[in-house]
Amino acid sequence: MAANGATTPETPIVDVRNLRMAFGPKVVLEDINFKVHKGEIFFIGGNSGCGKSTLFKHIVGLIPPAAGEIYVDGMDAVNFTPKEHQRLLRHVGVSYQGGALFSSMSILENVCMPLREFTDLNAKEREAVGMTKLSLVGLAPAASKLPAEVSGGMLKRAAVARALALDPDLVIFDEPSAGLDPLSSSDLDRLIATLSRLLSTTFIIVSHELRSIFSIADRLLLLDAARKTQVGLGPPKELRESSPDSWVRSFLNPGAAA
Amino acid sequence: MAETLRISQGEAGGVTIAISGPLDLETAPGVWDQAVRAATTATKELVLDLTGLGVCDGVGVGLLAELDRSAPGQTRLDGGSDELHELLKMARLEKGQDTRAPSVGFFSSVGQATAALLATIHALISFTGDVTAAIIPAIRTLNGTRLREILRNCVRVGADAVPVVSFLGLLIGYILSVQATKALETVGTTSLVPMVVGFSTFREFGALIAAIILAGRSGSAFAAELGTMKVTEEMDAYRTLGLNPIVVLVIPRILAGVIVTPLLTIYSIVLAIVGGSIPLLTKGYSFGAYIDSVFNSVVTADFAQAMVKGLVFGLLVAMLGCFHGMRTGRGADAVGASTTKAVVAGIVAVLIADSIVSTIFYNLGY
Ligand SMILES: Nc1ncnc2c1ncn2[C@@H]1O[C@H](COP(=O)(O)OP(=O)(O)OP(=O)(O)O)[C@@H](O)[C@H]1O
Ligand SMILES: [Mg+2]
Repeated sequence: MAANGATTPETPIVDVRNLRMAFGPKVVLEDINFKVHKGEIFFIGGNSGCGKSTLFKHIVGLIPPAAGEIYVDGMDAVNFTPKEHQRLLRHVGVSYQGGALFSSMSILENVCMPLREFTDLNAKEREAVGMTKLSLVGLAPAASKLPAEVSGGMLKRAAVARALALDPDLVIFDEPSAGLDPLSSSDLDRLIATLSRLLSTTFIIVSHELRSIFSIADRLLLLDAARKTQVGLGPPKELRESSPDSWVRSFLNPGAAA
Repeated sequence: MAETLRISQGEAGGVTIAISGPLDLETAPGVWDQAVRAATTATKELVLDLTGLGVCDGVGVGLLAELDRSAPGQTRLDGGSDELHELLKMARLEKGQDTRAPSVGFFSSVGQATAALLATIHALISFTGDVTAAIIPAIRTLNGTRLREILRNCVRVGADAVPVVSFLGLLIGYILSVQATKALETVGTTSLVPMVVGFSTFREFGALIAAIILAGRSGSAFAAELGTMKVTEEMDAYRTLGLNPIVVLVIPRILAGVIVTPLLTIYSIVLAIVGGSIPLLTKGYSFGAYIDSVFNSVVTADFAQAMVKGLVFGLLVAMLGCFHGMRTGRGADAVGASTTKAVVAGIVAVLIADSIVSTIFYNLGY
């Protein structure tokens, strides 16, 4: 998506600089700095309520941050015209923490909807692609059900399939495996790893799932609600073994005595 | 552009589809139908030769998976990256998995609609039963919280409706008076206008104005609130705490409707009478004389009729609002649907009840 002349292969797909997040006078996080590179599987972790969901909404330009800069593939994700925002979002797939499926459409129609809006595929082709995405997340049998008729974990997986519908360059998942059993959760990890190798898709994944973090994450950003800032950034194993911060070490190694 | 697809028919139901170059959003639609048609003839074995395959995106994977699905026999992959194999393995469907809902014909949709109507009537009867059965527990568990809930609903249903009821009352009274003046002018009896205004506002319009505003404002709000609570599982949370939602949520709302609608009825009668004076004042009548002749023309029974109607309408609208709220399905559009139903059902029920009550009063000689 070379939408900007300044884009080079080294341009990080997401570049966050000195970000401050706040709701009114209440600061949620500040001094957030990180880059995500193309093809990376980048996890964001941290305690509940530390601002993970808010952070990804800043990245896709749904909420403006209190201060700081964000670039997505070289495009400004803080100040933009509606048209620029459309172009940015065209290459980003998002699955929300609550699923956010369109309740009046079947699961399959939900997945086909981005294809209908943004491609010239005909109905038959869309359906085949949609069904394929659904079977990737193990949901093919539920294709014709309405969101109201499936379980919480199935909703999550349907949202993941919808986020992948357009083969976005950047995929953002907000807690994709919350509510999934360990087997479906590791299937999802396998899918993420495969897609990142096959299509060099970049993944930003908000998750507390240590198992997923250690099996597929290239790097991890850890946020702490108490200190209101980032407290660790790097490959998860490295952070667990040798982070200078004891909170980070115990976060990643909850079994060990403090 | 280089050829993307090469199809060779082997003997006895073997088909080989060789794909070269990229298979993606650009190229896949061009070869889609041809490839799928070939795959369906592979009764024994479909070989997908991917040795020459370039970039393959989600649409390409979708086509490959569709070929696999369409082939009646086995599918074998030749070449292609490990990742692609992995992905196709994950994307493999069990053959014959149901994917789409069957479409519904005209007669069965008529049948379904009838069945749905009967189910609604049945549910309404059992809801009425639930509410009646919950009255005693509601009285027994009456406490500060519950009283505050009733009061809060009274304020929302009543006090907040005052501006719009005032406006509507004035307008209806005014319109009534203008039309009556016109009609009675032709027979030279404009002095009867106050009687027409008093008679019709007391017996009909006061309660109707209140009920229609109630349906539009509060019946819909009840349905939306209770419906949203159902969608977000708040209703289940009440139940698991051992609280009956009918007692905690429905009865306070119905009570508010029953208490407030008669009051709103009186209020709108007053405003309609005031509104009715306007055309006459411009014709030189005095306000005092107008009010005198209005009240000379109505009797206590007319007032009683207004109160009975207010009570019944309030009960009906609030009940139907809560009923549709409690019957909400899941999902955001379910709430919208219940809200609409609550308003429409409320207004229809009010008019049916109106004709019944009017007939009863008439037959009693009033
Ligand atoms: N619209 C809002 N208005 C005010 N405060 C908000 C709003 N949305 C979120 N917050 C606050 O911002 C903080 C971060 O919320 P956020 O949803 O980003 O947390 P999170 O890290 O995603 O938590 P979880 O892991 O529980 O999903 C919380 O303290 C929350 O109360
Ligand atoms: Mg969150």
